[in-house]
Amino acid sequence: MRALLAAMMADAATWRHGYDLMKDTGLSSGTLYPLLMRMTEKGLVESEWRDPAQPGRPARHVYRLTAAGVALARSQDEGDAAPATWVPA
Amino acid sequence: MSDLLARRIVALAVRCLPPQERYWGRAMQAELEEVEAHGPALPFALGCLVTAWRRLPLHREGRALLASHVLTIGLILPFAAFHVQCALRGAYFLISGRDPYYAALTMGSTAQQARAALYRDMTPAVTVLLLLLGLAHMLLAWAVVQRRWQRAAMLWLVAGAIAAATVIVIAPIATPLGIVVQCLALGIEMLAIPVLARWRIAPTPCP
Repeated sequence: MRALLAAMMADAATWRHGYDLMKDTGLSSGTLYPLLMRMTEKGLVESEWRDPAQPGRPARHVYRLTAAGVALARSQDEGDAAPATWVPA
Repeated sequence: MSDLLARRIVALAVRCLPPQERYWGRAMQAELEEVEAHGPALPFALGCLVTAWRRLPLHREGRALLASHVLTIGLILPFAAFHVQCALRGAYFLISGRDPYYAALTMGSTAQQARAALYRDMTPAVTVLLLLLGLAHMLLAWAVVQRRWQRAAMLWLVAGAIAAATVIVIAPIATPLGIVVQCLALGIEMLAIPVLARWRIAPTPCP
């Protein structure tokens, strides 16, 4: 989920296609779609249908992070950036 | 060819998703066209199918689908295979006159020899009944997988009638344990199909 959050956070305001997300994250469809489904259920991702760019093609589903998704991505980024503290025994 | 197969697989994935999640399937189908334009679509399609299968235990329709396949693969088809195999052994005995059980009985006591004669005389009827029972189970398996419950109910009655006739016919020559095992297995099957059909037909509550 971290890879997907990071990829979507790169440009959080942009709606992304499933295929683009697969290319960016390197995730297979068998991993990406369950993640998108779960994240949508949890309110981290929103989706909508977009008219096709070319006539004759089907409408495509696009995804982007919600405010909650952006907050989670930021909190994970901060967690990663925080230096590991050494606690003496 | 590969693209056609990929489309079929994604279509199957869509059918495996519950009605309220079908839009995810339509999203996968739309994305498939994009994937096809850029490279092999089969891995994408298989991933979609895996996604749909992973969702099966999470919804009522999926659980019913899994249960019907478990019932079919775990019980109905083995029953069909067992009965057809028994019918083929009966047919072989009718044609060749050779059968290890018959041979053992003919070399036994007078009572066993009488039983051997009964066994030989009953073989044509039992062979036909077992063949019919095997065929009925094959059709029943297909009806359950296809979720055609009215057809399954009709075949369930037919299989039950043939099974009852078979048990009555083989009772004089079968061992008590064999009869009990046969009745128990058929009883489980005969109970499981209507329970599954009732569960499957019950309306799914909408969220």
